[in-house]
Amino acid sequence: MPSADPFDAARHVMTACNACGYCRGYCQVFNLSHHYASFTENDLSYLASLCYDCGACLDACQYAPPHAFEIDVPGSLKALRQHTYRIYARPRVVARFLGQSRYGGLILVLSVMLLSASFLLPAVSPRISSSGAVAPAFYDIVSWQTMVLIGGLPAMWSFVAAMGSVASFWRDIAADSVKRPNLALILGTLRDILTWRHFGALSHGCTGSARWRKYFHWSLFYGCMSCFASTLIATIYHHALGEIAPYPYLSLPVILGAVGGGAVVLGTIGMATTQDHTHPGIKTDQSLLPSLSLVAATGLLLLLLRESRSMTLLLTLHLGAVAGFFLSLPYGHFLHGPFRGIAMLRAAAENRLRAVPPASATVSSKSVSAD
Amino acid sequence: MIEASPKDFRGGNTRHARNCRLAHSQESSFVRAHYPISEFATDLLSAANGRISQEMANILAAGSAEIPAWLSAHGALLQPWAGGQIPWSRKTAFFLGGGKTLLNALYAAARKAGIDVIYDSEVLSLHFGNSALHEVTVDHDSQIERIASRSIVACSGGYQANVGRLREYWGHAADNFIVRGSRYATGRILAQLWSAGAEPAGDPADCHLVPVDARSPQFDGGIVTRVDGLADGVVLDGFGRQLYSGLPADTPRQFSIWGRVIAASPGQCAYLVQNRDVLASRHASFFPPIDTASAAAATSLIPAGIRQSDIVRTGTGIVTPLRPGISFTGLGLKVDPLARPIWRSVGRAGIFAAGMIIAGNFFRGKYLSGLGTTIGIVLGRIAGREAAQYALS
Repeated sequence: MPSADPFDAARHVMTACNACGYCRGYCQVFNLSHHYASFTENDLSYLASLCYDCGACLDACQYAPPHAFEIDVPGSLKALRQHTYRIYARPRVVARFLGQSRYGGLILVLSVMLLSASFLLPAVSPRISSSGAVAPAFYDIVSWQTMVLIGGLPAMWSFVAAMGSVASFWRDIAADSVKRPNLALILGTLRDILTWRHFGALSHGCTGSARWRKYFHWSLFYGCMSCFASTLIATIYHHALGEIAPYPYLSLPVILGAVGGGAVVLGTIGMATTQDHTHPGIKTDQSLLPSLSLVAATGLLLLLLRESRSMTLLLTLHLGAVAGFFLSLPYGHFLHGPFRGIAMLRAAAENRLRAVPPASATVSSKSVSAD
Repeated sequence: MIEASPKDFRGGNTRHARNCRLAHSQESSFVRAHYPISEFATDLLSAANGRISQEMANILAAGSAEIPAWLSAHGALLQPWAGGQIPWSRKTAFFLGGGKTLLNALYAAARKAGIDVIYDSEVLSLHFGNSALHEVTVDHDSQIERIASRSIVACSGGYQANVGRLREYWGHAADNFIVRGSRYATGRILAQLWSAGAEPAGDPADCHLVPVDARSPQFDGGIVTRVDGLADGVVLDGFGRQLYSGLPADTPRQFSIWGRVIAASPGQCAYLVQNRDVLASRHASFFPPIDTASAAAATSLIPAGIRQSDIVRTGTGIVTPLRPGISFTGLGLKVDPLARPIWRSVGRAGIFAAGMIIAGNFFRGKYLSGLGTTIGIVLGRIAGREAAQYALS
C-alpha cells in the first residue's frame, strides 16, 4: 500500500486519518489536519514538520502494520521530512553531493578538520619555536584574522544557504496562511518552540525514552545557545574592551562556552542513545549529532589543555570542526529546526483563524454515527 | 486469558471502537449535559421495543456510570470535549486514540495485575467438569493443550466472521458480506455453549450492517471503509435500478437501513452515484470514488448496468461501489444479572459470559451508538468479579 513518493504516501496516510479521526486530540498534526478536505504537497510538508515523532499515534492505530492498510503516520511524516530537507536545501548541487551518504556532513567535517590540521600545523610550527613560550596564546598560533576567516566565511555561507532554504520553505508553506503575523502570534510561537510545548502533549507520549529525548534536546539546544552567547561576548571583549583571548577560567566567555559545550556533548550523546529505531527503513541524516559533538568536544579539550603542548593540534582541529560544521549545516537534519518553527507559526495562525467563526476552508465534523 | 488472535490484533472488535455510552448525572470533561441512568435504561428498552428485560437494562445503565472512574483507574483515557475535536455528545464518551489505545491501556493494567495473556491460542472446545474443574482445549501455535480452571468467562464475541453461520439466516447473501472487524469472531465458543444447553438471547436478524466500500478487505477494515452520504446521492443496484426510492425521505439516513437494503439487492452489490461537487466539501474518503468520466477506471469495478444507466451516462458524477459490511451479530447467550448463562436443564456453575456474546440481552433490532464497549466494560467487570469469587470459593 505505501507509495514510493513521500508526498503520495503521506497523503494516503493523512486521508485515512481524516476518515477515522480517532487520534484527534492526540497532537497538533491531527487537530489541524482534519480541517483539510484534501492535502496539497505544501499542506503535507507543513504537517510533516509539525510531527515530533513521539510515536503515540502509531501505538494507537488499529491500521498500523501488520494491518493490511499499513498506516504509519510518524513513519510517513518522517520520510516526508527527510524529503523536504533534500528538496529545500540550497544550493541543490551541494545538497545532492552531501546527500549521497547519511554521513555526508560528518565526512565533510572530518575532512575539514584534517585539512585544517595538515595545513595550519606546518605553518604555525616555526612561529611556536621562535616565540619560545611554553604555553603560547591562541593568536600566537593562528592570527585573529585567519581565525575569523576560517570560522566566519563558512558561517556566512551557512547563513546564506540556510536562509535560501528557509525562504523557499516559508514561501511554500506559510506565506499564504500567515499573512499578518502580529507580535503576540510570533511570541506565542517562540514560546512553544523554546518549551517544546507540543511535544508529548499527550501524557503517555511523554514517558520513558521520549521524555529523556526532550531533556537531551533541551540540553543540546540551550548548550548551542550558550556557546553562541560565549562567542558573542568574546567578540565584545575583543573589540569593545580590547581584551584578547585566552580569557580566564572564571570569565563569561569561558563559563558560557564550557557549560554550553558540556551540555552539547551530553545532549548529542543522550539523543544518539535514545534514538528511535521504529523506522530502520527511513534513511535519516546521521551527521548533525556527531558533528556537533566534535565541535563541542574539541572545544572543551582545547579549554582543558590550553596550557599543554597539544594545544596547537587541538586548536587547528577545533577550528576545522567549526568550519566544517558550518559548511555542512544547511544540509540535512539542521533544517528541521527552522522548518518546524515555520510550521508552528502557520499552525498558530490557523488556530487563531479558527478561534473566530469557522473559515470556509474547514470541513464540518463528522456527525456521530451508529458506530 | 486465552486470546485467539496474535498480539497485534488482540481485543476483538474493540480495537475498532470509538466511543462508549454512559450515564452521568452532570456534565464532565468527557460528556455534555447529563444523561440519567433511568433515561439510558429507557433508551435501551424502547430501542429494543420491550424485548429485553428491565432488570438487565438497569444493570447496564447503572454500571455505565462507573465507566469513567474505572477506565481512569486502569490508565485508559477518555477524550475531553473542550478541545473541540469531537462531535457534541451527551450520551457517549470518546476514547482518546480510539479502541486500540483503550485496549493497550487495559492489557497493560492486566499485565500489571499479574494476568498472563496467551496470544495465538484458540479455544477449540470446552469440557465441563462435574464439580470442581472445567477444562478447555487450546490450539496454541498448533500445539494442543488442555487448561483446567474453576471458572471460565466466555468473551469471544458474536459470529460475524463465520460465513457458514451467517448463511443460516442470510442465505448465500452472507458470502458477499464484508466483516468490518475481527476475523476471530467465529462464534465457536458460543455454539458450544448453546449445544451444552445455554439459552440463546436475541435473534439472528439482529446485527449491525452498514454500507462499506466494495474495495474493503474481507476483514478488519473498520471505520475508514464505511461509506457516508447515501441519502444525498443515488444508490443503484448492479443493473442500474435505483434502490430504496419509495420510502420516507428521512429513513435512509440511518446506516443500518442501508446495510440491509444492499444485503437484499442482487449480488449484494450497490453503487452510490454522487455529484462531483461533494468532493470539495467533505474529507477525501479512504477509497477514492471512481470518476465516471474515466472509462479505464470504471470498467473493472463498475458493471455495464451502472455505466449505461441514465444517471451515469448523462451526469458527470462519481461512483462508489458498495457492499454490506457486518460489524457484529446480536444473537448470543442469555445471562442473569451476575453474567451467568441461563441453562435449559443442567446448570453449570463457574461459567460466565461477557461482551458481545451476550449482546442479545441488551439490544434487539436497533443498535444504540457506543453500546458495544459499554456492554464489554460493564458486564466484563461483573463477570470478572463473579468468576474470581467463584474460583476462590
